[in-house]
Amino acid sequence: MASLEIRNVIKRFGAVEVLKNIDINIDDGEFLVLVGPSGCGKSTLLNAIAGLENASAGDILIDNKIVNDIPPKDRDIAMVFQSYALYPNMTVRNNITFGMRVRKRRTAEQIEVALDRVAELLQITPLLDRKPSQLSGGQRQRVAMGRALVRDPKIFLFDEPLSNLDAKLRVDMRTEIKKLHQRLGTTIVYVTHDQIEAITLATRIAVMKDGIVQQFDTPQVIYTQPANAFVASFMGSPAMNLIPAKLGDEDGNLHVEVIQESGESLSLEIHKPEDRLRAHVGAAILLGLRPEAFGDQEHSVGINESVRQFSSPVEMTEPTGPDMLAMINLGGVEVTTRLNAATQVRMGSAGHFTVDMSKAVFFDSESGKRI
Amino acid sequence: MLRWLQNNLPRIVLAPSLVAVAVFVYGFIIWTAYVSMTSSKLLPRYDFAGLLQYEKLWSMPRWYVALENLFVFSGLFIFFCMALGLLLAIMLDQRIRLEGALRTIYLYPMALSFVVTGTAWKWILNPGLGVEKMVRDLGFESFEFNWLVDPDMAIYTIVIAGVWQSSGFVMAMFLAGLRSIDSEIIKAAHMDGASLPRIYLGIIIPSMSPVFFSTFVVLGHLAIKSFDLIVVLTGGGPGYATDMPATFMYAMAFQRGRIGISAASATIMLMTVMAVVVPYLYSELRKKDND
Repeated sequence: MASLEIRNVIKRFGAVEVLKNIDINIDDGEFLVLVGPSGCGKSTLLNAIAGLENASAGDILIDNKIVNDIPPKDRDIAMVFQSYALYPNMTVRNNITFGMRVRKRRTAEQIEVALDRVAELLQITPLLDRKPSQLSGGQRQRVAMGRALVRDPKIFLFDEPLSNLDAKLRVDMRTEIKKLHQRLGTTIVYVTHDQIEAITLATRIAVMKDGIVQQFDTPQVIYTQPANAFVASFMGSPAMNLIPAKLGDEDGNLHVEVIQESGESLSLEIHKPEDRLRAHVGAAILLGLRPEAFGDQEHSVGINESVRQFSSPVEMTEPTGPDMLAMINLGGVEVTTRLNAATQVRMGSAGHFTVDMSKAVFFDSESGKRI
Repeated sequence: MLRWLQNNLPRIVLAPSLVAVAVFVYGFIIWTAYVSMTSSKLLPRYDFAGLLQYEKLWSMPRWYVALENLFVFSGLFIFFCMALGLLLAIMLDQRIRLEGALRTIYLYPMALSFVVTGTAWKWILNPGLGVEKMVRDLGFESFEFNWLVDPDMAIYTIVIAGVWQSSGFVMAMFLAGLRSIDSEIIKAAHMDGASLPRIYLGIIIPSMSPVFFSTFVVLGHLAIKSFDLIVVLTGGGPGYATDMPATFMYAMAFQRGRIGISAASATIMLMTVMAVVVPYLYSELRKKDND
């Protein structure tokens, strides 16, 4: 168990900078998820932590000790790979114990004890004498985790461990990884492109794009207060709606004005606006609203002072089971709203919607930064 | 009529080659097996003499020389081809520069026929012309490298030429095998603390066993049927010191006028090849059924 600090790490491949000044700091026992679209540098960063690639500049510290020049095997970290990377010629037993046998630091009995403990924890005891080719995807995943667990390392690294599993198994394994983390309390760094995995697992998320950490915070903050339009649209499913609008001021009451395609304008008063918004009055902004900020009028439970009402034709509805997703057009963009499954809103007709403006966030439409 | 033609066109097109293969390959295999059980000498004689020719064959010292040479040659040829090929493949696998060019260079001898290889090495190994003369011309007057004309050593010159020709091909096969190993496995082994030799010996090479087996079979049958290399390089000589079953068979049939013995040796070679190839085909075909 250990803390991890990444200090101004830069990684260049030739002239291309894939990691630009990465700065991340987590405490002992945290679950850090690196999330971002493919090519954002998250796997490179993980490899740099593992020592499989060297950073071009900057420091990586494990337990407050700079590990830049320490080879992967001596960093006391274990990694679970996307392809599981099990040794195909060895049985599960030998796969798990290979690292310990190579290091020769433990006796045969100690190895046996460690193996039994991990096999029991992951429920793979009956599989110990099989070869990886005789295992299912989920079983291989467990063995790969077992191989990492048995070493009892300071930090676990997971490189998209669930992306090769089918949807149901992925959810199951996600839960198991979370349970495992709660039970062991080991520091984990986990790479994924799946934002749901990120939010469910992490204690801290680093959202990355183009080699830059866009936001580094807890899942809750990232979800409710995204630092910029990219984070807003990347995290959450369906994504946050970003509606082009204008900030207006009417006798000190701030409101957003959304110009509809029809030319009409929809004015929504902002609930308890923060003072920094006033600097942007008259400027073009992006109004960020999560689908669940919307509701239909008949089912809106808490109609209170932050809720505004409006009507709009419904372009499309998608029942998901627990909810009904209704697409409407606001300000020229398609907006997804998440309504009660029992809603009377129907495709093609006008629907009466509510929107909770206390959940609205605002972005500068030029820079994409949150105001 | 047209319809019948349409339906049967593939059969009609394939029929001549099928007939040719049936007659000239399998037909003559059966014919050879039959002749080996007759009392034929210069010309085939269609009687039945039981195992007479086999008895004669197995009492000829020259046949024993041929068999011994076959074992020495195949053993050394397969071993050195594999060792050298694996070494080259591992070195090429280290993400070196110019890998494509080097690969082609090493693979190139395979593009030559054994006749060309044999001729080239005959010149290189010729004491009055090749390596020995070159080193002597450099001033080392007492240098000797006359394996080609030494009855005890001549068989090793064939090994040298054969390995030179085939190790590049083995390298290509091993390289493909090495490349088929997921790079994450190697990363995982690194993190497990294994050294590079240990990764190769403990993980990569054992997972390549199918490639080893294929290579062994290919090299094995090359060794058993090797003929042109020997004919060109040593002509079976000095004397019959480098005779192999194939050259033995040729000599018996076309130089000594002993078709029966020749047919018997051919049949034994066929059985030897089958002993290598049949288990291989069996395992390959069974694997396909399982997939």
